[in-house]
Amino acid sequence: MKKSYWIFVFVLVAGIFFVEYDLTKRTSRSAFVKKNPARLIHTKLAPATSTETSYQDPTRAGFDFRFQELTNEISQLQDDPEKVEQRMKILAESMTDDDVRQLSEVLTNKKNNGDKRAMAVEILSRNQSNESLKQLENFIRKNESPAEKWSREREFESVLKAQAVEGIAAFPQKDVAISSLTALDQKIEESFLKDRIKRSVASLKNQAPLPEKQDNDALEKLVE
Amino acid sequence: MSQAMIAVFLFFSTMVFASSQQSLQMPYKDSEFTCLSASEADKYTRDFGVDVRSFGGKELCDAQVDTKKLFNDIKIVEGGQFAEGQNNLIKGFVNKSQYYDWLKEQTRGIERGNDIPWATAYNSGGYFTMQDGWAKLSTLGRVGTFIHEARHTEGYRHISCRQGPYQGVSLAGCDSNYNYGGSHAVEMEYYARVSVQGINFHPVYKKMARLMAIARSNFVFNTAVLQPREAVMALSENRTQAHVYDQGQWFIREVPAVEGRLKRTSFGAVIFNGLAAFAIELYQNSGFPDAIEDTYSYYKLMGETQNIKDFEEFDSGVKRHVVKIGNNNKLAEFDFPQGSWGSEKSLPFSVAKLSTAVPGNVKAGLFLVSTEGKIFNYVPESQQLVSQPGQWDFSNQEVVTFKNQNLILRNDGKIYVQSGESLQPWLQTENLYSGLVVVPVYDAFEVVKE
Ligand SMILES: [Zn+2]
Repeated sequence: MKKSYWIFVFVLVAGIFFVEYDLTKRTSRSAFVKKNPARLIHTKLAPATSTETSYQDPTRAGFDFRFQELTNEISQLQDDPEKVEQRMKILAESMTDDDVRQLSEVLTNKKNNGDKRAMAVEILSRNQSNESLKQLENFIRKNESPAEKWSREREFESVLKAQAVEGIAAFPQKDVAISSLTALDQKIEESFLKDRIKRSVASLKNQAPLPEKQDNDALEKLVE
Repeated sequence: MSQAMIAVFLFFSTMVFASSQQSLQMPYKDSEFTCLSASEADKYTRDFGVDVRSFGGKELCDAQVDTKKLFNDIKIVEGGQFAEGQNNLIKGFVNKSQYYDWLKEQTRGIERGNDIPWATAYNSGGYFTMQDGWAKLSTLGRVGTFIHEARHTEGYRHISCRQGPYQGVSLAGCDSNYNYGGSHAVEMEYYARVSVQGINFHPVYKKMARLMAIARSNFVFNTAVLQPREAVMALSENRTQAHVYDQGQWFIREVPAVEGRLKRTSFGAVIFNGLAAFAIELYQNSGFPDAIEDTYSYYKLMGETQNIKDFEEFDSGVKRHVVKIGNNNKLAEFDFPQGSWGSEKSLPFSVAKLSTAVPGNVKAGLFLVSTEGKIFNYVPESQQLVSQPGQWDFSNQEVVTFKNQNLILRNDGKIYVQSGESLQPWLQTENLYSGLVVVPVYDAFEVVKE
């Protein structure tokens, strides 16, 4: 009687820990390449089965689902932008190096939709690990083909890269950010990006206000 | 007793489980939160004459379908809110509380097509056709394009681009300036409002609006509306100080104690002695008199193989160029992606100096002056030298362009401003100088509406 009681307790505890471990793995794992993105779009959810991660329960959703959900929010008005910031921060901080690398693929793939790529650079910027720094640098350094004609799509590449520059500038260690941006400046030939880099570096050296502030001060003069 | 123990275990385990879930859990929104109501969709379809079928059929939820993208865009326009500005007398090109009504007024119909694939969208008499490029854009890019096209209905047309990435393109794609209030200005006004006054927009949408406005301000106006701020730097005659003129004031900076010529760089200024470049600290005086060699690799690389006669850093189109002229009279450009100097090209004349400006011409560029005083414009895109009218006056030591005027340092050590054919002393400066450059300052923008 006493023996079976302890076996029961052991199985119970082991069971709980197993469930917990499995959930932790599922929530942090990314599956960008493994799953068809069309299946991850909201509203058309497959019925939950006992073996598959159920996307109907948000707390059990994988990284890619949460990322797609955040991406979809860009095209919606937000009553509480602060909460959106919070959600982006939580997702960015939960990423593994594998997630970072796969998100970097989302960012660099020009076939992806603009919102998805913008969210990718945002989440990578907020991750602030060595791996994400490396991926942002690689993205900025990738020079566009001179054969590619200028268009809104080409303009968007510059905007994404400018966003990545600000991501690097926000890196917690200022000296790392400065040396990363200085090295990038020597590899880049696009004047607009060089200007963005120089503004960030000047700001990091306390020689100028944040580029974000400089931008809005200038834009304010247009609309106020 | 045993039941109590099980209860304690269960309670404890659930607590661990719950707290671990807490850290992973995100504030959640219902998966269908992005769906539109049928009545909203019908209203948008009616108000804007949307050819729903061409967009892939009526779709209320799935943003992969172009119809839903368009509906999302219209909803953002309809519900987007802007804070009151400090100066309410400025009404802008479009009233910020009436974007929806204004768009509706300018739009007779919207369809999806791909008959002009190189365009993002086009407007034919108030009927807009959104191309494949439109569908790939970000939400912000689509909304901006919509607003842009709507302005064309009011009769605003583009002219050919005289600068920026669209210069030389056969199609007219630019507006003269911001104050013209054309499609580019109206689009930019929207971006600026979203960034500066936007209340209920997504943070990433706002960030993109800011960066898009800053980027486009350089790309689509013949007079860029936001320009890098510049200051004038003059090297004192005894070469111990740099006098910097910025925003109506003069201040003094230390100069490294080395022989050489004062040169402008994209990060400030240097003293260049033919072998190495020594930085002048623009933002502060360090208090250390030692010369610090500039760490930028393209300047470092210059002196490694040979003496350099002159170098210049300048923009052309959307690209930065760094050009050097060796004592062997060969020209080479720095290849940024490769991180090294490109191949050297022999010049058909002996070069006396490089200049970023010539008197009577305020357009930026790179000019080569031959020892006989002939002037050639170097066109980096085609790597051609274009002969310029007139002779270089060698009593002009330096010629620069500052705020659309030529400043000239003459051999008498004085700085003059050229007005028409005559030279006037600039700002009544009594000081004598041995060098003159214009340096970029990265702490604010110059706002140039016209
Ligand atoms: Zn247009």
